[in-house]
Amino acid sequence: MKQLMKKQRGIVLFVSLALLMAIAVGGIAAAQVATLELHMVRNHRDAAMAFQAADAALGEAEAWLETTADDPSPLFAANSGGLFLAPGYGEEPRWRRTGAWTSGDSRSVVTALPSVVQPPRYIVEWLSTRVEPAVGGAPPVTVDLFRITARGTGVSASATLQSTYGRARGGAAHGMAGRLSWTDLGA
Amino acid sequence: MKYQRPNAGGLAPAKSNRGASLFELLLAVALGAAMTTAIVQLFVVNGRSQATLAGQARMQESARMALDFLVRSARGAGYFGCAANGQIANGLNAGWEQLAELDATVAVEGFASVAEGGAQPRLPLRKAAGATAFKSHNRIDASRLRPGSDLAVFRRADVGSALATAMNRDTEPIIVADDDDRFDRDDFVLLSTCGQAALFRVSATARGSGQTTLARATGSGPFANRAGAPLLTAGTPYGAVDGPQGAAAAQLLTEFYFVASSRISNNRGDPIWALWRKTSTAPPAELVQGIDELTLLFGVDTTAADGVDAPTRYLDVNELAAMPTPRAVRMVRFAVTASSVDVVTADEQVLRQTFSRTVALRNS
Repeated sequence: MKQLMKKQRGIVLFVSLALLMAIAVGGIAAAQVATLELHMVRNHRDAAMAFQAADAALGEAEAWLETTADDPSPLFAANSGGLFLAPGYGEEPRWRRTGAWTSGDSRSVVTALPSVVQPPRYIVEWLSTRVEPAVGGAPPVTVDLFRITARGTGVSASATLQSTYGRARGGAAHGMAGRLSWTDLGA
Repeated sequence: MKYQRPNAGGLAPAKSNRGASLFELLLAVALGAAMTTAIVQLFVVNGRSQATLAGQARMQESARMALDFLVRSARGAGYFGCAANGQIANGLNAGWEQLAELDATVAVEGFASVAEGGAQPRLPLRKAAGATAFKSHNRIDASRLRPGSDLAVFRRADVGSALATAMNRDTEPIIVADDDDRFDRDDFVLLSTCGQAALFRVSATARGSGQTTLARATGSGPFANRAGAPLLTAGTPYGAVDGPQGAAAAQLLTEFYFVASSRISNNRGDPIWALWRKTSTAPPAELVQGIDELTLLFGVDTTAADGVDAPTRYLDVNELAAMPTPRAVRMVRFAVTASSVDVVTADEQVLRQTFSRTVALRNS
């Protein structure tokens, strides 16, 4: 071997190996940057999908509430399965309790949402029933107020949205009927 | 195979080694030079295109980040518990128009960035007459604003805490069902229930056993609680009519977004621009570097009475400011011009591109 090395002349091999190495290092660095960018974009898309899923669930919950009977009592009597009476003073809201989103304590949306990892879920809390006084010649209107919390889940992100929704009994037109507020509670 | 040295046999080396001719030498040098130039060129071009690509990636990333912040604030703007912004009572001494950091009556606003010294009474600006800010050193520095860029303001309530007991009279204390450090002295808190809300300043807190009592002592100065200011403006108790979960206390969040000069410079030492945000009474903070311009368009429903909640006109900041309040702003269109920050292109330029997004406001 020692003799063989002595017989070799020139540095073509070393030069070309060194050049190849330099090019490879540059290429790998570029590929890593591209992969990182790809991950960031994927996470961004994931978060956006989770948000849209949660927003869709809010809409579905509100539309579903409009189809239910005037008196919410029978639906909410069991106080389970995602339809709850308002928690009392000092009690944790239903949507903040542990296990609220994994077990049968929330409802899954019915509408199929393709390309969403798992169907978004929602919780309805029946906050109160208000009897709004008569205005002019119109009779008094009974309005039920609900708090809807919806959660969309992606691969690595989730989004929780909340709305307060008023429903006038008998389908009467009233300022407190419909969506009263909307907020983004974050992940 | 046995290898024989050319000069073996005792002959004089000069005679057997005739060496390369001049022509051969020149050819070898020329070829070598050409090869080396090609390789060096390859490296230079490769490096430059890599820098351009990295610059492009940075530009897109900055724009995405900036738009994400803006879109999230715009979507949530106008959330004041279950109350609407027309139902909020001011419990402080100064009028809403003086309290730019806390004016809950206007959920979405836009301003044209002005030259230094220009009056912007509805913004807490430094070096501007009539500007009020809770802490004078936390104002926006008008001299650092990017000329020609817009300033966006979004207001909403933070995630609230439920009340621990109902508040039936104005003389009763406000007790929230949280004993973490969510509320502190000098916080501005919005107490809300459906159809009624009020803003007050926390003068002291008392925490214990899952509850926090928020005191609201009166005082002098624009940001102190006004003596005799009622919180129960509609006569409705907080927490009784809409149940224990119907009322909430939450910090009032006002977010001012603007483009101003960054604290850093680029790879040529030139100053750059950045997106800044000032949240409520806190000092402004630099959010995203490499944002050169922010332009706003507001989709306003000029025929709000027709029952159709769609914008009928898109107005710029000056046109919106000329419109009387309350304005039915339904949508906001953001155009953000992002840059690669550093000089990255072959012709020594900074890359720039404008990205835009339109969002519907959920609480209008």
